[in-house]
Amino acid sequence: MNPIDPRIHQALDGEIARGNLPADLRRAVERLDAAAELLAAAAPAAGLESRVMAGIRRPLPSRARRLVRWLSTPQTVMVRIRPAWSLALAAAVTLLALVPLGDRWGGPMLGEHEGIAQFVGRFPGARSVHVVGSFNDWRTGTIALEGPDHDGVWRGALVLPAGTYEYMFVVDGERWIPDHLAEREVADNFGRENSIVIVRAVRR
Amino acid sequence: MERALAQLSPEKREAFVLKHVEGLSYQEMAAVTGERIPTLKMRVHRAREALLHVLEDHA
Repeated sequence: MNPIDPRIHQALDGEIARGNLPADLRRAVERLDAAAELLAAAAPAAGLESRVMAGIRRPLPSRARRLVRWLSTPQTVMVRIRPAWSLALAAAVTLLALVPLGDRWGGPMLGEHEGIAQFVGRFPGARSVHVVGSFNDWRTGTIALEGPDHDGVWRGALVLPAGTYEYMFVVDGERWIPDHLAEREVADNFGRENSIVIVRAVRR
Repeated sequence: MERALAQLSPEKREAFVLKHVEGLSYQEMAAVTGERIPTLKMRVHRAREALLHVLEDHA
């Protein structure tokens, strides 16, 4: 199955305005919209798996609703409670964020095409946590995260040329663990999934 | 359209229906299914791709 233009997904996910799409992509988006409307208007179809319909009918559990609401207001959670969930949200945001480190912050001097990748993970009881990935040829033991703090959280940051990188965490030198907070993931050649970090150049 | 949906794996079908028929956000889908958001996004994307190819073939 050939992948479709990523802008179609972005438009359907509300990340970009549909009006900015070229006409052919807009038609594709409208086709999928129409298909979804047809499905919504139809009676529950016999061909649909019971699991699907069960999933649709299943009400959002109240606990889940609270979690969703909780996650939608990260700043409150992070300041007042600091549970693991708030760390998850913070990491997901910072991974893709432009980090405006400059002279004012005393941060590293970044080249025009460089950015910062931040890594955060909670590994209670871990003795060491390293990050390995396409940025260091998957060599273990070369990039250590700092930690743990009192919540068992390990952190690290890398200055990297702008680009997309695959990575995993290595806990105690032997357990390879994907980053559950990563925005994206991709299947590797070993039956697992690597995490993806996108590093964007810091604008100067 | 139903035939096209039937060709999808149950997981992708579920993801597409929850996203586009039920109009749930990825966070809500994660709460309902217990799956992780990147996994759900990947399933929705694959489902869209499959459906679009079928729809274009019959356009």
